[in-house]
Amino acid sequence: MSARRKVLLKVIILGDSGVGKTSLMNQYVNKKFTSQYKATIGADFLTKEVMVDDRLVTMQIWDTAGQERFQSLGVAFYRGADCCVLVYDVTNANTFKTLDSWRDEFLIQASPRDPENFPFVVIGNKIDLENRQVPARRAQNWCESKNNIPYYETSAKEAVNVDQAFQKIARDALAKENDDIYKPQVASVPDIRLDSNTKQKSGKCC
Amino acid sequence: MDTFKRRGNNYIVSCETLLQTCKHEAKKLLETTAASKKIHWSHPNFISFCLSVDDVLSFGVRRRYVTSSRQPLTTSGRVLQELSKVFPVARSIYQMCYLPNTGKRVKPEYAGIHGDLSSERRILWIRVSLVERTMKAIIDQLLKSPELYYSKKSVMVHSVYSELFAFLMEGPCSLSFSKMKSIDSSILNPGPTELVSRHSRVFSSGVGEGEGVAVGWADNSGDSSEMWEHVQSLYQSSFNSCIYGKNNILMYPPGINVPLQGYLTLAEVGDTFYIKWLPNTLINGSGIKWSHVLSVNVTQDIAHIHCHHKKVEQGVEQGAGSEDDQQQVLYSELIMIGYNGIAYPSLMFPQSSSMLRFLESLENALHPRGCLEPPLWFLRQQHQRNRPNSLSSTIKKIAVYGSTEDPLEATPTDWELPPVWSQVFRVRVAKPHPPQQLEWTENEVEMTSVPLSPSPVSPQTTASTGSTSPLLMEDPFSWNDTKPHPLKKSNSRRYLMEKFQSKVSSQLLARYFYSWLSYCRHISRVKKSLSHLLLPSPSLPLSPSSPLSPASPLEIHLELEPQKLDKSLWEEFLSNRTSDMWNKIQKAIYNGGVDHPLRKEVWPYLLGVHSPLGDQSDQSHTSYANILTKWKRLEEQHYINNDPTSTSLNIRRGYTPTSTITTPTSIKTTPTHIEATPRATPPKIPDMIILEEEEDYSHNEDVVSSSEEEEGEELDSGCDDLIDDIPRTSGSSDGGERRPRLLESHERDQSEEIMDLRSEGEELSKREGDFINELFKIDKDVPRCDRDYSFFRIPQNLTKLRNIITSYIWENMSNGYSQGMCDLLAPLLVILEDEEITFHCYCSLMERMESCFPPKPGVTQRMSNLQSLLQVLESDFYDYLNEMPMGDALFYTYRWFLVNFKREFTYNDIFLLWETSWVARQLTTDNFEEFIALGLLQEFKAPIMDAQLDPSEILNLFTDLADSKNLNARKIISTAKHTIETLQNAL
Repeated sequence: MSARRKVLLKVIILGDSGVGKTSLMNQYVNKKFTSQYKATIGADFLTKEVMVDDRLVTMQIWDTAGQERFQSLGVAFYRGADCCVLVYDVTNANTFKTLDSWRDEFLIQASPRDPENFPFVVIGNKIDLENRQVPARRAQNWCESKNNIPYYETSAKEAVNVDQAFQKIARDALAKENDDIYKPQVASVPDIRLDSNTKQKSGKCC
Repeated sequence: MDTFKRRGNNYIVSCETLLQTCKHEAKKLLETTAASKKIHWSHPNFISFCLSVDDVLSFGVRRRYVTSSRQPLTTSGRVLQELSKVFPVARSIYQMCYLPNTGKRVKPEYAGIHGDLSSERRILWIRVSLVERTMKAIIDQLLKSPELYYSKKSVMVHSVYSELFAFLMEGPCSLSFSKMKSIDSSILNPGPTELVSRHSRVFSSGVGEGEGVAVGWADNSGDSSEMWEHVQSLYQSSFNSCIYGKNNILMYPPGINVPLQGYLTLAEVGDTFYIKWLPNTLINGSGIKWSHVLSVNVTQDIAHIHCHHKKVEQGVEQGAGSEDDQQQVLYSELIMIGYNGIAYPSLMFPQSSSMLRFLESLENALHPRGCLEPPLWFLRQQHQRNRPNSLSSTIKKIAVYGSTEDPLEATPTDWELPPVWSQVFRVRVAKPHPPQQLEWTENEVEMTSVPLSPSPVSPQTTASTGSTSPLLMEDPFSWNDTKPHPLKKSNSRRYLMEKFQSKVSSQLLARYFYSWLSYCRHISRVKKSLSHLLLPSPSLPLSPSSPLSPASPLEIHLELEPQKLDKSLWEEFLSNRTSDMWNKIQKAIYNGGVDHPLRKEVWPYLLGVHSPLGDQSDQSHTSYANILTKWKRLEEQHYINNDPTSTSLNIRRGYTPTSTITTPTSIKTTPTHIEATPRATPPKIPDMIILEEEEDYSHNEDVVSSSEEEEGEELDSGCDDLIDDIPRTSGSSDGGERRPRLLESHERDQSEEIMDLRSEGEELSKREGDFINELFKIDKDVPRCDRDYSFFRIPQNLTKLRNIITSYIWENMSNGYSQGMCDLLAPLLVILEDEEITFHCYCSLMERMESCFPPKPGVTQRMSNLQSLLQVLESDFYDYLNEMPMGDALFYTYRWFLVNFKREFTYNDIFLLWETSWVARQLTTDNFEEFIALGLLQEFKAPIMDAQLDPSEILNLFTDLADSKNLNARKIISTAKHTIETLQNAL
């Protein structure tokens, strides 16, 4: 196993406009928060080098426009993604409801080889705010129903849980990347599923 | 004797090299004789083999046997002399060679063997002993006691090499050699007698054995060398390669009325080709004179070949003397016509197919130095057109061939000539010394031989169809080896190489030609696509309807163009509103932009809100007030309706608001301009939202708490979520409904709210529902618009922004709000400040820009324009980008085009860029943005290509540059203008 090969992990952040995608990315990469962010147009990305199990990987985190009419652009950005992060605003129930369609849209446009086991991570952002509308339990239920997507609740503003969430993202993305390299055939044998299941369970928090 | 002199070169000789050479020569000799097992003993390969044997035998001879070149005996001869004392076989050879006068055994054939050449003298005994097949025995004898004659360094003493050497003698000793003849006839040219006798052996027809023939014609022969040539031409010999051969070809020799049958050959001799015909009678020795022989040099003598069908009365005089009944038979007649206009005796082919094969062979032989005109494939095509039913013709052909008596003819060819047929071919040959002929340079030959469609007559085709002659060239390299003469071999190999080279070069040429052609087509197509990017006449005055407009472009150019629009120029225009003056203003702006204080005044003109030549109407003013009134009423209605619901919702969810601050400032700041509208005060909530969001990330919390506190009075802005809920769930929102419904289980707790709201939602018209949905999106983005720019920290300005954008959406509900629209509005608002005029300017701007917002394809169109520009103007960069793995190499320009570079430059640069692009639309191009994008790419082309950035890295680069505001707008604008100018000149 050429474990020392330099790895680039492509991570896509999706979610309704205003849920804090840009904030999350900047909080994770630059460790800072500002209220000056503008609505993202097109797409943007930042890279960060991280250690995952004593392995240095480069994460390329893509921040996308939240407005649904820009989804058609997605194809260019989604291509080759290793992990998809779905973000919603815990104070806005509607942003949670749309996670379903974001997920579907991603799977359609990126058309990963093994959609069932493609790594997603769900992040409920803005937990620093008090007018919370989406209970954690509800979000967790939804994640479990979608093949046990790992779920995190974060505050980009106060840097709560952001690092942990992205660690998990990196780990899953890396596992997926390795899958792609060492099991190039479509045949996804049951042990992979098992593997990802156990990982996802262990990754659960909150 | 480590070194010795040989052919003037001093070199170290070792046993290995000597033996190697000998082995090599033996191999060559055996290869040469592989076909016939027979070789002339003066054959160069044989001579060189003998020399190599002599080298081995002379190497390392004991000193006492070494002879000098002046002595009659060579060193090896001296060894033989010594050996002859003990070995009778060696003695007889020795006597044969060196004691011709004393020995009884001297054969008469060896009479002239001594020769004058030193090399021939050197190898005398070796040659003789090989011919006598005694060499092996002599060597074996020598090896019994080599130490007697050789030193330790020699091959002969070496335990392994000596054995090898002895084995090498075995092959040559088994060969049969041509017998000697008198010294005066050329040693390398076997006489006609021998050749004819050879022929008789091969094609023996039962008549005339060797000696008889020789006597028969030798008496008649005038010139023996000519005869020799003729006979030689019948064979694949060292001097010529027979390309075509066919028996039973009729010819009318001059002076004879009856056609004779004969053997037709096409032979390549050196660089020329000969068509030769020998009567059967001559071959059979029936006493026909040599004068009947036909020999034509194709490359020099023939200008035209005329082919047609002719009926001949059968019953010709056969060589064998058989006679048929008088009968008309169709022959294919071939007449060669020389440059002097004289026709050669006609040749009659019994089958048209054999004539075609002859022509094919001729054409192939001439290629590449010459050709037939028209080419045969042309003929073939013509023929195929005439006879579309090829299947039946093939069947017919097979039937015809089946009945022929000649088994060689039984193979059907691809095609057959019609019975009535006549064709003249012109023979075109490029010659080194053409006295009376068309001169072709080598290049011309190549050019003309490039077939636009692949010629059906290729050597392969001929080989596959050419079964007439067993000698027909099948593979150029296979028959190459059968020609033993070294000179000839190298000649023919060179010729083949030339042939090959010319073929390859013509193919290359064709390929280059086609790629060049497609490139030209492509460029012209691209130029066509680029020309639409520019206005047809760059200096065309603004309004062609104006009578003043036809002022010649030249005049305008001659005027000193103002470098920017300043106050004095603007005042001049205001006092003299003519189209000329307006044109001048536009040029000034195009050159250097507008002085900042004037922008507020000038922009409405540039955007067409004010007509530069007339007065503006007040219509627009009132309409804006109406728009505001309408949507504000609706908004108010909506908030009032939803207020209790939102409260109850919050309560029902058990949400306890923390009573934090409200912001009194927001309530106080009632926008003054709105008071002008007939319908009174709109709700002020949005202002409050804006203010708080600006200050505090957790605005939602504050807003909600405030709404809880001021329930009933102030509208609840916490109903963000509710507003959000209504349109999405009521099924009236435009985009949101594409999304799949959520799982029921996850929605259960919300379904009640939805039911509550649905009744209210139904009261709203569809348009209103949509509008509320859009309003929600707007309210999400307006507070986020340029929070870092001081102008938008002032709440009134955000209110203005919201009012304008909402009014625009109200008027253009079909488009809906899209992210980026605020960005387009912001610079206008910053410059114009007045809400109403900004609204009209914005509408005007959006007329052009709305096509860029998805799902409309404006941005894609601009990207493809940019692609075309890159392809023509920056082809290396274009190629670079297209080689990138990511398909869409220009996706980072999306933001540029969507918001007109608003995110890339500072406000001051945007003002300049935008006003330049607005006037450019009147002066030079409708697509100024594409040229700006091109300028941006050009600016960073070198670093991008140096660092081999991929598209995502390029995106990163430009985002960084934009974030750090490090882009030099003036430079890029001037680059763009320069590009436009260049392109205008080019087109």
